[in-house]
Amino acid sequence: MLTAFILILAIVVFFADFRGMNRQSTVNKEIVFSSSLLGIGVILGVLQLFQVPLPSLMTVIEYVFRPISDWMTVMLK
Amino acid sequence: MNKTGITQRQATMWFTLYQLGSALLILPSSLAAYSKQNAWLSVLLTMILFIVLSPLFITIAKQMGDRSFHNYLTGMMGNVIGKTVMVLFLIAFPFLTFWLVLKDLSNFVTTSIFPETPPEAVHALILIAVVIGVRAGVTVIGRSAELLFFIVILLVAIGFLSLLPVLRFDYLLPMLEGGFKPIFHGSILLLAYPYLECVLYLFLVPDFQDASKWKLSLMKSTLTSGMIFLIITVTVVAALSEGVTANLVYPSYFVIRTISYADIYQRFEIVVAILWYITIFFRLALLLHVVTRGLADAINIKNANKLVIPLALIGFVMAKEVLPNVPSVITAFEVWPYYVFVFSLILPAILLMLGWMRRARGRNGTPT
Repeated sequence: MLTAFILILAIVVFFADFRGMNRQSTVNKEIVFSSSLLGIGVILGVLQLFQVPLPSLMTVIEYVFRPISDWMTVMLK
Repeated sequence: MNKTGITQRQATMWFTLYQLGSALLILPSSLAAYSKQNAWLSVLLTMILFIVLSPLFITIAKQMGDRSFHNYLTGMMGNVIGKTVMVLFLIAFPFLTFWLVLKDLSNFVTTSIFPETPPEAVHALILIAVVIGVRAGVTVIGRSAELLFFIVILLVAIGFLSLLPVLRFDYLLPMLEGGFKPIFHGSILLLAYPYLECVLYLFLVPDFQDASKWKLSLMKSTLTSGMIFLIITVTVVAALSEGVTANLVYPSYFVIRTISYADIYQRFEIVVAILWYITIFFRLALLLHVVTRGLADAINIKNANKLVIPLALIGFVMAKEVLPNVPSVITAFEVWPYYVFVFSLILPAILLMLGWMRRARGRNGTPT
């Protein structure tokens, strides 16, 4: 519930931030890029609200670096 | 003062608070798990190792001159590879750290202080402060670091000096019981987290009023935070013994809870929570600043401020997903140093070699 509130808050603040400057033509790239980032954030947030398990980078890191860590632990015993 | 930016003093204080950050609470426990009663020797060894490794970063900062880290990277690796490396680096290192730090904060607050508060509330509140700070710019964060630094030192002093009467220094004996290897293992941990994260300070080089002062800031902040870590580790281990320290998740918090004189002078543990909040704020602010600035440079956007809210939102969502629970944090922490080495030792080493090769080629290419 709180996540939903935060998502809405972020969207509102984000658009309030862009009001007044979106008439300049040079900022198109900014608008496109930052709103797609916001889109990613909102999609991730909605997925989380529906309790879809999101992939975590840490799982990959643990898988890759666990052997090195184990080896070091044995070496430095 | 004609160039806005941060002074060397502000940067030193910001870096010190950054380094104290997450490690302040967790560190004694993980150090004691490896190097037992010699945890404090690990801190000393880390300082020495860092001083040995620091020329790596200082040389890079010198090579950078007035350029931003992005310009330096693309200058070394070419435009396409440089930008790709930059974006991957940003997502894989500072942004991931940002999620982990948020997660750390809420883990601590929801397990120790506010058990009934949902972690999202903790994340959201600190993120609002961080977003405002990062949007206001480096100068503002630098000034607030200058203001809050002495409060942090005062709180550390109040907390840990109060423990002096109960310290039992025989807990620190026997010295070097298991030889040097466990001490070295402990210092690998402390070196990676937080000291080698100083590769991120390179992003702040162009913000310095005088870029040549960067190395001074780096060394001073490292020595200051190293001293504080040393004091904390010695007090925690001497007050609780290594066995207890290693089994606690937040030993620095727990040890302050044990302060109680005459039933009046007690319950200082919230002091540690305040410390933790202040330092975490500067940690998050630096990480978010680095990610926004780097990303804005990589995609060639002038106004980096527009990226702050979307990035903070992604951070807010991912912080909940990145590690499921407290034990997983502890197991991930065993692996984390070796992951950090990829970004903070191997990448700078490659950059340095590229810089030397470039200079050598330039020297050969120029007609005499």
